[in-house]
Amino acid sequence: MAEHQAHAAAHDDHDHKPHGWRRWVYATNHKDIGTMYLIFACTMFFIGGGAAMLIRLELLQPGLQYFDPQFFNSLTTMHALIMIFGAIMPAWTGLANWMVPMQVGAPDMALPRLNNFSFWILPFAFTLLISSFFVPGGAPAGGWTMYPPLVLQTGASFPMLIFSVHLMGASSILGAINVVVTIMNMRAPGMTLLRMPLFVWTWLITAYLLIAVMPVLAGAVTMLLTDHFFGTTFFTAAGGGDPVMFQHIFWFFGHPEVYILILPAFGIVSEIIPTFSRKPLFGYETMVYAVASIAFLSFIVWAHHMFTVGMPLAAQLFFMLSTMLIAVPTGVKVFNWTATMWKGSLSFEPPMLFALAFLFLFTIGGFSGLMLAMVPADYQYQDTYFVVAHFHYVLVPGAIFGIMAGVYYWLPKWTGKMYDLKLATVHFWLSAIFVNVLFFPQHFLGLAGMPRRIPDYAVQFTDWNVVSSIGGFVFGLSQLMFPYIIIKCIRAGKPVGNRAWEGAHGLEWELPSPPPYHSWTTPPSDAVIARGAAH
Amino acid sequence: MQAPGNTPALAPRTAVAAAAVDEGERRRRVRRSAILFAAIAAVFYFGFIAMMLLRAAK
Repeated sequence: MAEHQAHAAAHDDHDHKPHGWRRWVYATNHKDIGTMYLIFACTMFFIGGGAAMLIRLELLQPGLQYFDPQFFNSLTTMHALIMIFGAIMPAWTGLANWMVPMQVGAPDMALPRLNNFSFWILPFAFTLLISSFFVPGGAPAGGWTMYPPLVLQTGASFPMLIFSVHLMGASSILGAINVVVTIMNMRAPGMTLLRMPLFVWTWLITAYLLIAVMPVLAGAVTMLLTDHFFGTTFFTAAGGGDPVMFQHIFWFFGHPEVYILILPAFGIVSEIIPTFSRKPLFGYETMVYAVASIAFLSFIVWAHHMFTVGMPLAAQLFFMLSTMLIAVPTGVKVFNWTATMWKGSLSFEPPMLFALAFLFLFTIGGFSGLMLAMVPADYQYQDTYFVVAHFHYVLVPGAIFGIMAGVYYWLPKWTGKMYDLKLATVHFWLSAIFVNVLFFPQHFLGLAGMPRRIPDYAVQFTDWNVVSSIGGFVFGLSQLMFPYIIIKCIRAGKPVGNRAWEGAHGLEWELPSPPPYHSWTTPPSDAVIARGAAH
Repeated sequence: MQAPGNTPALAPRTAVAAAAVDEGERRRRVRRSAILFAAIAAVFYFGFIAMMLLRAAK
């Protein structure tokens, strides 16, 4: 304790933060930038969620109710782009900014000015993208996958789409470089790689994935741009180009992107389950190797997204089997989380509830992924609502619940105050029940043959669409509780100690709550690191 | 730490100076690794475009 107080006192000398708007616009502090990332992600979550609720409103009944098909397609396209690049990815970067320096014993990120730059690109990128709703021809409507030749028919918003994707990519790459460089160079002496918390490990691997695949997306959309404006025919069949090649390149980015969205959630769940089981994580090293294996495999499975374009049997077999192989390291992780809880002294605070929901519901998404990996079955499921149900199970109770679990876990550390646990538990149950009401019926709709990306459908699909829409409305509205709980916590939460959760381990819990402006200006001692790395 | 020519290095004997040396070295490592990863990203970006150009030239 004396050591903590001495450390806190040492930090007070460095607490010279700028005030007013300068603190945010010129921010170089990892916590300030992390906060801005999280606020931005939350804003985008509600804009993208608003688009989703409009989609569910249109699908509440068969026939065209509110929107013309072009606008409906714009809504689905923009919902995906905003949620993936505007909500989930910035939320992970925000959490990385807040937690990585604190967890590795560093005073800040390695490249603070680059950190500022990579954040401030994002508001411009998304202002550009969202303002495309107001240009002639409307917002992009060709799907987030931007397949040519369809996307090349986009109106005036096409260059806005391409430029904003470039900006998002640049932001992600710069953010990822910062994370890798911080973890590799800024760890406190004694913080060896195999002492690092799982959240840091998963982010390190995620950052490598980002550096490898975001430039591939940027290259693909650059070629779309030149096809559209400069007369090249990379993907235009009439000029000798190959539209299917775009799909290969896109999914070479797209499949690792799925893991970019989910791997940090693995890390957070690996922090939360031991805390609320009051036991060390079962199989720490196997968790690290499992995450690395999943990341490696993500590079060799991309064509399972495009089995129906026609490819040689050997290729179909390769991509089917390599996809199924991902179940092995994923199974290792699910086993380890379950084994961590085995005979543990469990308690069910909101972070643990979200982590458990992640465990159950992400596994459902994984199972439907295995079904989609089988080539003959995929021929039936392709482009149906079954696919929509699958990836939403992976991304909503997977990535989004992972983010919420992380925020509820670390919010007392960030603010120095405990949030309203009852209200957060209500938020959890509303989310967990209605996310299933929203997405589970979509499995039935898909198996019955309802195609995706349509504003109208045959009447036999009505009942499950009504259920799904009601689930969507309640799920969407219940998310308003999330910012309310956070704001209430900041304003009127009860103060907490350094270790807000009884069973928490890790360097961040050795710092005061809230932590000083600069985290570890004096590196933590080996004893403190060893105490934190109790896995 | 020994300076060239068997002359004892005076500055690094103090903890502050040693920390400064370490900090300088760390800054260099940070810069080098950031440039390396940026170069890798650039190789992926231009590499895929180059591959498409080579494919078209066949």
